[in-house]
Amino acid sequence: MEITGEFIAFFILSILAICGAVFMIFFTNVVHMGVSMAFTFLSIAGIYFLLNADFLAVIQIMVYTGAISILMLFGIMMTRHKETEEKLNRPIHYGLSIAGAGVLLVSLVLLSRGATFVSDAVDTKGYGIEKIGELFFGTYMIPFELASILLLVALIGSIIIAKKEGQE
Amino acid sequence: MMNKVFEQIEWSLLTPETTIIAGIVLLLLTDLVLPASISRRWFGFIGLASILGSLAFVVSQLPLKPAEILFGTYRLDPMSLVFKLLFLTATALILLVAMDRKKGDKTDRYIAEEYILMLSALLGAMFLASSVDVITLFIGLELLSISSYILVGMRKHERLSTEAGWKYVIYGGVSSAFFLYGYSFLYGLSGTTNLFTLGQSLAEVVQSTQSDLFIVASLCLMLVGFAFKISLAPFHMWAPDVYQGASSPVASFLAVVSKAAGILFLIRFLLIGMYPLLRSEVWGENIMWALAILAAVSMIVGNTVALRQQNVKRILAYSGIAQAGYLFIIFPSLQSNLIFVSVGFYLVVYMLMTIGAFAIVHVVSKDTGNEELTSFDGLVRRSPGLAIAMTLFLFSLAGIPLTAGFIGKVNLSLNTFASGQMWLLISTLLVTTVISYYYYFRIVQRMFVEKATSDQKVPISFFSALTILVVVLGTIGFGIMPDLLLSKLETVKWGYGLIPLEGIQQLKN
Repeated sequence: MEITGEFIAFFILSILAICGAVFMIFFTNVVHMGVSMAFTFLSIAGIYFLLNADFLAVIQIMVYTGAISILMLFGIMMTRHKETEEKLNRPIHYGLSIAGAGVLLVSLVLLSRGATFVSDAVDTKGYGIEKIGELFFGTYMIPFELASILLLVALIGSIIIAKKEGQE
Repeated sequence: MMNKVFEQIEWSLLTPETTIIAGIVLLLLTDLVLPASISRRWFGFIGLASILGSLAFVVSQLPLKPAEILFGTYRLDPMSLVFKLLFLTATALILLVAMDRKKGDKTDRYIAEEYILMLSALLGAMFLASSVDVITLFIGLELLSISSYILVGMRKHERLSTEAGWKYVIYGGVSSAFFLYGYSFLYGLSGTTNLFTLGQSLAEVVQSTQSDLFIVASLCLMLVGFAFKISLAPFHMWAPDVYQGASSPVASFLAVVSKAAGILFLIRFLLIGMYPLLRSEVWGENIMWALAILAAVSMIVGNTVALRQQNVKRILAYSGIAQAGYLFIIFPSLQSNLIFVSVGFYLVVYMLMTIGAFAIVHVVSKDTGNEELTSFDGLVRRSPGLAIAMTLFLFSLAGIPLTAGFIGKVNLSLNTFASGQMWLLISTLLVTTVISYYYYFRIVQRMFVEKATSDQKVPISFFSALTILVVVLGTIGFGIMPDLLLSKLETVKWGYGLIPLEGIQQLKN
C-alpha cells in the first residue's frame, strides 16, 4: 500500500478515535470520561474532512464536540454526587460482553473482506453543501419535514421531563 | 424547472397525515391560549376529531390508485392503506379509554401533551406505513419511538414510570443503533436507500459474487432492531417493565400500534429489499432459521415466564411477547401470498382483544389503585359486565373456539402448515398455547371464585364502556363470522405493496 499524507492522517485520526472510545469505557472519573469522548468526536470529524464531507465535519464539531460534550460536562458539574464511579465487579458480564464484541468484530472483518463491493469508488469532490441542500429540499423533502415534527416532539418531551413540579 | 416538478406532485395524497398534524398544532395552540384554570379534559375530542378526519380521508382515497411522491419517500398502496386504517382505528379506541380519568388525577397537568404525543406517535406509524425509502421509514419509526418514550416516562410522580421511561429510551436507542449499523453495510453494497433499488442491486451482488454472508450479517444486525420493536424474545426484556410503568392506554398503544408498525416495516424490508435472497440458498440455510428461532423462543419465553407474574399488566406484556411469536411462525415461510391475509386478520384480532383487556385493566386499576392480580378479586360480583368482557378477551388471547383469537391462530397455523416446512414451529405453538391457558385462567379464576374486597360497582365512563362494547362485538363477531373480515382482506391487492409503480401499471394492462 502506498503511504500518502491522507493515509497517515487517517491512521492518526482513527487511533485517536479508538483510544478515546476505549478510555471512555475504562476511566473511572466522569470528567475524564467526558473529555475522552470529546476526543473521539473530534477525530471522527477529522475523518469526515478527509472524505471531503466538509459540512458533516463542521456539524460534527459543532453538535457533538461542542454542544454534547459541554452539555455532558455541565450535567456532571450540576448533578455531581461522587466524582469517581465505583468499579462494578461482575466478571461474568465482563467476560461475556468482551467475548460477544470479539466475535462480532472478527466475523464482520472476515465477512467484509470476503465481500466484493460492486459500486465503484465515488469521487466525493462534488458532494458539498449545495448537493445536501438540493437533496433535503428535493428528493428527501418529506422525511426532512417529518424530522421537524420529530424535533418538536423531542422538545415537548424534554420540557415535560425536566419541568419542576410546583406546589398546587 | 424545480417549480414545475413541485407542482406536479400530488400533495393531496398526504391529507390523512396532514389532518393529524393539524390536530397536533390545534392542541398545542389551544393549550397555550387557554387559561390554566380551565379544565383540559375535553382535549381528547380534538384528538379524536383529527383521527376521525384522517380516517375519512383514508377512506376517501378508495378505490385506490397506487401512487408515489418523490421517488418512493411517500407511497400509497393497498398495503399502506390497510395498515393506516388499523393504526387509526386502534388509536381512536385507545384515546377513548385514555379519556376515562380519575378526578384530580396528577397526570392532568400534562393532559394536552399526552394527547399530542399519542397523535405524533400515530403520525410516525402512518408515515412508516406509507414509504419504501429507508430514510422516511426510519424517521417514521423514530417519531413513533421517541413519542412513546415520553408517553411512558411522563407520569413523573410514579417511580415505576420513570424507571420504565429510562429503560425504554436506552434499549430503544441501542436497537435503533443496531438497525442503522446493519443498514450501513447494505448501503455500502448498494449505495441507495430506496428499497426497490436495494433489491435490484442485491440481486446483482448475489449473482455475481460471494457476498451472501455479508448481507446475512447485516440483516441479522437489523433483525435485532426489528425484534426489539415487535418485542420478540430474546429482545423482549423491556416490554414487561415498560408496560407496567406506563399507563394502561399507553401500554396498549405500544402493544398494538408499535408492534404492528414494526411488523409492517419488517414485511416490506424482507419482501422488497431482501427479495433476491428469498429464492437463494442463503434464505433456507440462515435467515429462515433465524426467524424461526425468534418465533419459537418468543412463544416459549412469553408463555412460561408469564406463569410466575402477579401483575396483570406484566402478564399481558408476556402474553404480547407470545402473541408476537405466534404471528412470527409464518415469517420463515414467506413465499406464499396467503400470509398477508392471515397476518392482517391476526393483527386486527390482536388489536381488538389487547385494547379490550388493557381497557378493563385501566378501569379496574383506576378504582383499586394497582394492577396486581388481587385487584381483580371477585370482579364478577362487583361489575358482572366487565368480568364477562375480560373473560372473553382472555379466552380470545388464549385462542379458545368461538372467539376471534381462535380463528386467527388456526388461520396462521394452517397457512404455515400449507407451506410445509415448519411443523416444529406449529407444534411449539400448540404446546405453548396449552401452557398459556394456566395464566389466562388464573385471572378468570380471580374474577369468578375469589371474594370481592368491596361490593361497590367499578365506576366506568361512557367512553371506556363504548370502547369495550365495540371491542367485545368485534371479538365475538369475527369469532363467529370470520368471513366478514377474511373476505375483505382477500380482496386487498397486497402484492401491489411489494412491486414498483411501473410494475403495477404493467400488471393492469
